[in-house]
Amino acid sequence: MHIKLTNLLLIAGGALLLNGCVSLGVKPWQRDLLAREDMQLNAEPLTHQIDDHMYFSKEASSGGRGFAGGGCGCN
Amino acid sequence: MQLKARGAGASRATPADMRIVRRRLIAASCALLGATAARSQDATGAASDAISGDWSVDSALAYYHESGGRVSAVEPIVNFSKTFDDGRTFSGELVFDSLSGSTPNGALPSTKPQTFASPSGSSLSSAPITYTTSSGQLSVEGARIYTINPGQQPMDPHYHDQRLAISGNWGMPLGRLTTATYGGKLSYEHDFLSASVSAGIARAFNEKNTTLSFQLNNEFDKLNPIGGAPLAASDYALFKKTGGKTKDGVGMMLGLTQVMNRRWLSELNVSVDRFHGYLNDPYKIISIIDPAGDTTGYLYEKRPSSRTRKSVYWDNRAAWGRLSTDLSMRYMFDTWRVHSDTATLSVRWWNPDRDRFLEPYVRWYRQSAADFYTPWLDSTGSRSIGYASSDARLGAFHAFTYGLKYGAKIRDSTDHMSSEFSIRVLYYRQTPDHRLAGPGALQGLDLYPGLEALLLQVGYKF
Amino acid sequence: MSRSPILLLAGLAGLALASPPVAATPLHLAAYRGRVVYLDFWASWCGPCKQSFPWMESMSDTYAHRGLVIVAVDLDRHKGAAARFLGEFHPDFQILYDPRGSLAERFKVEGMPTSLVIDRDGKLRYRHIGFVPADADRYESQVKRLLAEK
Repeated sequence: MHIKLTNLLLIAGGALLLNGCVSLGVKPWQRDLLAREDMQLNAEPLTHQIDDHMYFSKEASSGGRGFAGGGCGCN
Repeated sequence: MQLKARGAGASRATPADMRIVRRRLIAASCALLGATAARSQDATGAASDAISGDWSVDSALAYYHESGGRVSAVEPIVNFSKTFDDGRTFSGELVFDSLSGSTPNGALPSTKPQTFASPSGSSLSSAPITYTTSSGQLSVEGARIYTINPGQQPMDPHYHDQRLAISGNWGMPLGRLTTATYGGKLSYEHDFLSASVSAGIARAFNEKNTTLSFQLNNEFDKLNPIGGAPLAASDYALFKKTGGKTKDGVGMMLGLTQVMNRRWLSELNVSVDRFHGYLNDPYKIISIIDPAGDTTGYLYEKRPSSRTRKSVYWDNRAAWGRLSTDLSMRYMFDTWRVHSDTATLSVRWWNPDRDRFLEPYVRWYRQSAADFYTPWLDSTGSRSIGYASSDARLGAFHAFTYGLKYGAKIRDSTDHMSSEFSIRVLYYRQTPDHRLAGPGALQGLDLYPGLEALLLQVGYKF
Repeated sequence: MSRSPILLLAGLAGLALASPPVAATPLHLAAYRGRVVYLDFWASWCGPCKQSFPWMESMSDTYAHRGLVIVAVDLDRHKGAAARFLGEFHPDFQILYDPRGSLAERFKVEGMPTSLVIDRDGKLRYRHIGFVPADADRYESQVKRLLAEK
């Protein structure tokens, strides 16, 4: 079976995330950089929407992005 | 009494004139659905750290232009969002897009001139015709005939379409650690109607360093192709068409977001979606080529009536002082045997005052062809085909995107950065792979033109 | 009612060392014994903190004479960021700086902002994680109740 580089990186990434999830992270007061607007998962929604629309119309794949997590963790 | 307004002359800021930095709601688009000419997209809003305040408005205007007189589109979008005092969120959006220009009809160039009728046509004669189909009578205006010169890519020059979409998304906190979201979208074009709903739930763990989310989407589309939906794999010249078609889809996404360290956030999403129903492009045909390279006829395309796609998406954001980066990768494969790899990188570079930024962007994409993709059909082959499509979007190609965005925050009278203006330019180029040389006379012709497009976008949010 | 911040810090640090930092354990803030203390942990990058400040200011205005003390501990890594935030709100209550997060650690701050409401006897009575304007009335009722206790 021929494994592509991106697939390998995805598997590695997934393994890294799952393995580290229990112990990784920062204290609630250490989220200054994560609170930055350009670090939000939802930053630039219209730009992503316009891009996704273009790629959806011209390619056979679409989507991928999720919707929750990260940020300042406030409240 | 909670947020009492102070008297005039007080030196302290009052709640009334306090400008709360507004966060806009998420309007993240999630994996989805449909790969035919019909456009269908789903967007779901969710509340994260947005704080309550007035309505926020995010707007954009995009102009898209393909080279070679192909499709041009204008797309204005406006999004209104608000976070309420109890943490609930709402986001409503209106999208309009207008497309025009010429679009490939799926046939191959030839060494001889070719004549086609626009989808509204029912014959290659320009006289109006009324014909009866299984669902009743279809009366057709005079066909718009177009002739393609030898060596030219067959393009329908009369392509135009307008779409209006409206969507609403709600977010509701369920305690400190959980958020529920739900939304709906309606999209209307004169030959296509799409309705979709979505619902999701997200739960934070580990002092909010880890977030697990799950989202479900359902979509129903109704197609009313201009001139009727052609009988799949039938002879183009017979113009055998029927009435409206439908398709529906279900999708789900499982997401994991993890704070890796103070500077690095990682997100992994796994999604599956399945569409069932009429998945053909009603406007596409396939050329039948003989060994000498001459076109002997055309057939309407035929695709399977179901398609299941699976994808894994991994995104990493990091921040260092005035820079922030976003690196993502996605792998997708489906039951049509298309598989694709995508990688994107954007770097945002702020000025020292953090009120201007420049953001270059690059994307690499590669996909393999669907197993029923074929640039043409051999005349010597069987006349009854299984699935076949010559739609370039199902072929093997790789694509590069290069983009640059500039943003500037505008300060209001109290020196708060209350609005932002942005301008973005993007270049997209698609290059076909595995280009099979045509037989006979077709050897000298360019059968795989690829695609080049420019996108210009301006945005304003306040 | 302007006690020296250093005294408070010393008092808190000393007492935090003396007693294990478990939420249920009473905290004796010797410096403010006899008064109700609203101990708030905030940072300039925290959106909800921007909403809690005007509310804390109005609470301070209204209830200081009845014995409410507000102490706001800033958890920014650098004071400069806090200066901008404070320049907007000009609070008249105590601001302490805890850039390393040691106080936050000791008081087990779980989210931003976190406020601890301590009664006149020095006992921790309420812990609020996060701030939404819809909760302000409830927080105020809690403070009024504690102030009424003698």
